[in-house]
Amino acid sequence: MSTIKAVIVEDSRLARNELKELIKNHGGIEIVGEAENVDEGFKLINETHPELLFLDINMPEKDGFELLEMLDRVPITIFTTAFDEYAIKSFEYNALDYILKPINAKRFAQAIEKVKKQLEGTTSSSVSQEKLTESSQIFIKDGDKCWLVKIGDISLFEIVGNYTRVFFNGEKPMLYRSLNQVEEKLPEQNFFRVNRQQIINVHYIKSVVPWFNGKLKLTMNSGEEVEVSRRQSYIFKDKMSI
Amino acid sequence: MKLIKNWKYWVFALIGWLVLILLTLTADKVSYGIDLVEKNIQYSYIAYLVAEGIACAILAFALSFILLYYIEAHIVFGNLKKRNVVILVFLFFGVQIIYAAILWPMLDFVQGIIHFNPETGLIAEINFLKKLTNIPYFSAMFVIWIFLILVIKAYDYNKNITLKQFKLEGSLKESQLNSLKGQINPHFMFNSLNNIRGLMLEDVSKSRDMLTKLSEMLRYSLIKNDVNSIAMEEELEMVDNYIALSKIQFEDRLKFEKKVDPSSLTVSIPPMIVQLLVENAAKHGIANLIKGGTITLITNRTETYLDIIVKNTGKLKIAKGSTRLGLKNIQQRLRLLYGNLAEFSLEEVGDEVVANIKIPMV
Repeated sequence: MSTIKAVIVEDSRLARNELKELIKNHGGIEIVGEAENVDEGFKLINETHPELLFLDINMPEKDGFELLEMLDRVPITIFTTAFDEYAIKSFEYNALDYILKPINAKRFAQAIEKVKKQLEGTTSSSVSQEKLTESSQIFIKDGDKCWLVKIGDISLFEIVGNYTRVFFNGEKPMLYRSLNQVEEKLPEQNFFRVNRQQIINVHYIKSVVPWFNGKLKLTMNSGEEVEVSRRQSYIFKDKMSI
Repeated sequence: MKLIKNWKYWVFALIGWLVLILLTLTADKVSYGIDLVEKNIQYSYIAYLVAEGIACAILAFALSFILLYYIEAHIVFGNLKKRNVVILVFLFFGVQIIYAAILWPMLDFVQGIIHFNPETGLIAEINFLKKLTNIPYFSAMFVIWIFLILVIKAYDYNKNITLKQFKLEGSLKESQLNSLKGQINPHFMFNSLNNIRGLMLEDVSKSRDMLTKLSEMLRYSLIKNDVNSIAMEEELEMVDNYIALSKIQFEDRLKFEKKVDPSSLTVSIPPMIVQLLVENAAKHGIANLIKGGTITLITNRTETYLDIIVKNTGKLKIAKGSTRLGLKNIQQRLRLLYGNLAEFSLEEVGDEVVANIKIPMV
């Protein structure tokens, strides 16, 4: 299997050395860059598009969670932490792994195995593209709760003021970005802007019913009813070849 | 405390009953009745009255044990039950009836012993109705007795409660102090261990040195946990260790300056308190600054106070999710140890955060 491109974001130089030593001994991982704070890390990740991120939680000015919030697309992330595992355990989704410092080589190998399994399902070429793909992950933090969501799992985006509500697997947290910002990044083949307020994932449509004025009404798998505006209904019919 | 098992109570209660009855009953009868009897029987009349008083007192003393037994077995001040009080009241009247029932046959018996002829005295004239009037009198005597018993019991109860409270407060204080003195911050410990591991790759002798420093800190926090004061000098050694270990984490980002008044080195201070200030300065100050900053430690000793000042570059902002546990910890410890005599303040001065502890010199 090809090597995994990884980035380390960690403020302590010695801790980075220690991690690099472990990675060197394990093999199969290529460090494409390292950063000692969140802003540097953000730049580095956007330049190198790594598949894997080793992330410390406690860093100056901004913490590891804030880095995840800043990113459009979150690489597979392994938190490296001395004693904060409770912070990670509080996650709604167990999609984030963590290893405790000093790092146990066996535990490290397990974490890397898990990463390899996750990477198998994705096409490696997608990583460097501007647009997100179905398997890309986004990080959502609403209040105390955090989610790491695969784009393909999201059924609906909806405008709430200047922000966006995200519907997936029965959850509907708020994402602090505008719907237009979200739309720019979404893969076109899966997502469709049905009206001013909403973007739907076409894989989650249960039924389509003609509505008045040439509009369409969609029922989603989760039960939500969505009205497609007249203009978008023509495009929708065309796209779905109905 | 059980009065019933205490010989002193027996003695004092008996004397008490005798004094009470002789003063209120016998003295009264003697002073009013002496002129009413013929001169030739005056002495035997007095003798009879005294014997009567003693007999009444002894009977009251004996019967009071019924009440005392019940009070000591069932009346608990901390948990007074209505039912028990009602039973006590009924028991009280029961005792009065028994008393009245025994009293007259007993007095007949006493007359026989004293050889006092009832036909010549006033006693024979006492009919049933007059006998009944005696019940309120003895009841009143018993009320006085029961009042004294309850006062003793209440006093005893109160003393026990206060004692218990003192003990409780003491042990609470102790356990609070023990948990407050605290151990090494686990985050710091594991980060240090990890950094030392990394350091081994480039400088083995420095790594060995750092391991020793970390061990010293661990030992200090384990051993000093059960003392309430320690020499400033010893505490400062730990601060040096802490700074050395923090420097391998922060490297160039951390600078440390020390201005220690030599006369303050021998002063006793609560352990881990300077350590905690420096730790806070590193955790909330230096750790949040990308470019890092300086921690300054100043100690000053005056006649009345020891001043400990820890300054760090940075702003005083309450980190989100911070419980300010460290600060509360310092404040609580100072309050537990010095009451209101110690002072603690934390403020922003210019681009620095200044923590100041004043400890009274004893």
